[in-house]
Amino acid sequence: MKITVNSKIIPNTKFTTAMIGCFLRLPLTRHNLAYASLLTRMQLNASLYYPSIGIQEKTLSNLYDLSFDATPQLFGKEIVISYLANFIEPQEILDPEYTYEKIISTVASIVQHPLFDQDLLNYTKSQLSEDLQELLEEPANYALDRFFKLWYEQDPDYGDNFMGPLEEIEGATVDSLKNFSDGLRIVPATIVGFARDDQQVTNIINQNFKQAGLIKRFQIDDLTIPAPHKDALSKIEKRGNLQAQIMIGYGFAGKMTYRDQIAGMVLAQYLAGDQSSKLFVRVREELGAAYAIDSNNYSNNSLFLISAGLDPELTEQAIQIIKDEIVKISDGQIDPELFKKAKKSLKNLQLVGRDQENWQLAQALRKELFAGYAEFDRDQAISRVTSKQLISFAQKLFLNESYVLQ
Amino acid sequence: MISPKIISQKYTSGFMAQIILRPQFNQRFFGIIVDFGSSDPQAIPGSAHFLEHKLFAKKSGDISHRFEELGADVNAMTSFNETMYFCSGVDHNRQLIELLFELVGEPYFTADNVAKEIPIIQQELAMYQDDPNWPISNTLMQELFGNSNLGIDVAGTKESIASINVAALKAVYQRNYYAQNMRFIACGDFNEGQIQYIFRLVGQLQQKYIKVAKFEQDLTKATGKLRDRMIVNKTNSNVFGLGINLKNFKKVLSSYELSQILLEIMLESKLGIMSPWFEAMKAKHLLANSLQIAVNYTRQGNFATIYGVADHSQAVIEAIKSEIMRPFSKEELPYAKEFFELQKKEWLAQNKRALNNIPYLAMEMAEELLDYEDSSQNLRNLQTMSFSDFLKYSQELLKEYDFCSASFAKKGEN
Repeated sequence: MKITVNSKIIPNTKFTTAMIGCFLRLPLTRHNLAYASLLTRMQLNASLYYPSIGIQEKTLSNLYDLSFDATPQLFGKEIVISYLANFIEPQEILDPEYTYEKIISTVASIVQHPLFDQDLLNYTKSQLSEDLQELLEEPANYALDRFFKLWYEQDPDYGDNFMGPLEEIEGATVDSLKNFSDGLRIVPATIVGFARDDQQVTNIINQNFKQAGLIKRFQIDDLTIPAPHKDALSKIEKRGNLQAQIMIGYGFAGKMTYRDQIAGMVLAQYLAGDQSSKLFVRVREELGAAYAIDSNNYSNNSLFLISAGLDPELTEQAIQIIKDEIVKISDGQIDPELFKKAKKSLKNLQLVGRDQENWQLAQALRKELFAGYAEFDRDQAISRVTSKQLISFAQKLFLNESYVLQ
Repeated sequence: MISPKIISQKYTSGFMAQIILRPQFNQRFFGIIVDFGSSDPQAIPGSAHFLEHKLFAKKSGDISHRFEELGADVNAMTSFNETMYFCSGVDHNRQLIELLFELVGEPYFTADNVAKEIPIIQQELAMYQDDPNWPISNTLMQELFGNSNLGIDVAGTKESIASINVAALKAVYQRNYYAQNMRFIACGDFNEGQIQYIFRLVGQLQQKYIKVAKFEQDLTKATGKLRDRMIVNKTNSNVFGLGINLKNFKKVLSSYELSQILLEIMLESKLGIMSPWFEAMKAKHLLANSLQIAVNYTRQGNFATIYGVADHSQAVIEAIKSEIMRPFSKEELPYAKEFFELQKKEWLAQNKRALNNIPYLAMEMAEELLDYEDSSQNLRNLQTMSFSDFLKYSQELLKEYDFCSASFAKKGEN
């Protein structure tokens, strides 16, 4: 009987580089996130067959600067541990020793054979601790971290936005990390990518990647975290910054369908997608309060988030403008020209996205992860979004949390 | 093997245009680069950056809205010696190019629109200043280049931004925005007919919008006090920076870019993550993450910066200085040679990777066009360079230098 392995490599006719991504899916908990962060960071440093930073770096450098990344990504209730390899297509390099076989076997050995060594573990812990400290010194990151911790106050497993709790990381031992890593062999996994010789790469992948998880169902029916109800929690924290960071979070009532997601993306574009967008004009140009303003539809978190760095003196006015705009849209007051422009920009962004290797790989992952995603025509859905859909989306939003860092 | 086709044209005014072909890509990128940036002569620091913001203002309003009506993105950036205006879209090539020339070539400064821009740019500066890296990089640049325009943030200071007015903007515009000082770049998938059309259109538009003039460039070098500074700050960050004033930085094989590459390779070979030095620092628990090393050349001064994060930043700064001053020992030469050969591979790969990133490729090529550099030739020179030549060139470039540094004072220190 032939076993179907979750691997899908498509032909690359456009880029000078090929890409493969190996993805492992497991439930999001604070513990899993902390251990996934620690393990992947360790693998970026060294592995069983390349047992020091210098040796592993040299190996990758010798493969024409093979870019290897390993990190946990969050998708609602799930973590997807992502191993990404971006490498120059061998046809681009006149070097007979630089082959798909050599590249993929190197990547496979780093991914599948971590090094469990006390010194490496200690060193990696110090890196993560340093990274987190420096990351949170940046006000926008600190504000985002605090925002999510408050958003998921009742469900702390979902509240870590960066690497999981530091105390879990610091408490990890070689044995506990090895147990976690051993457990990953059986979690659902998939490998996707693109390469000039897609068939050869598929064959080499099938020979080199042997996790049991590769024959499990990777797709998941629902990973959405419903929005908690927080009665419009409002929190102000002071850290003496020059700019105030604001995070205005709206919960989305009910399950967000793919069509809702598209409406949410159009709304984000309409509000803060570019310089003619509603909030950009009102908060930056008219109020002179901000340099930049941003909005994002976190569909897997049922969260629509608007954020900005503002003149602290004008924070209240800016927040009021944001709230007013959402109310206006739910009341059907939509600028038709701006709406048309937002749709056109979003369509173009999809087209430009196809020029980017990471975007292509991210789409390939989503097709494997989300049921029905591959069949859903996003371009057509953007073209067909109506102002009614935008209104309906805005009507399902409820102000859940307002966080200000000063 | 993919090699981009590049077509160039020079007009009688001195204006130059270049088209880089990248078949199959959806995005079309257009840019105009000006040989004038924040560290060039200007009466009020931050004027070049302010001008970059304010050129978007037109009598009919913000011109970016007209780009966006076409579904295009538009933006601009100011660096030490350059300002670039660029847009990208998937269609409407003609309209985008016309708008781009109008953006750069038709200033509309009023007391009111200049006053409105002041708080926005001050917020931009505040955004940078809240980042703990800013006090370090700002102090480092001041120590390297004092209160010259190169020593001050690209955006200026809060006070200098507040003092910019219509007259100041007009003065820097008149002095720096002229045909010989500007280049046009296009990158994307264009057919033969479109290429010819773009060159014709650019020819007409540069005639309409860009004046012909010639001014001499001021090449006065700036120098700061070059001290080791400790900054008292509320932050818990352990970021530090080290600056190297490169007094003997010059062209290698007719190229500043090649000099920059060679010096970066030299510094990486000594301090990079593969180096024995880094291994020793790691073993002593002095460094956990790699250092960020960059070499810069500007008309006002040439310098290298090294940034890192360390609990004991003073000890690391001293160790970096010692390592840079120390020549390779005989025993270390095989490692250095192997590292140099690996770097050749990395630069070849970087060159290949750049072809996949339309905006990055276009910006790099625009700078090259302005500086009369040839990155393909530089890459060939690097690939064929012997290790002994590399050592000779990089030692020459590092012949005379001064250090300075910036770090945060720990509690109890000052």
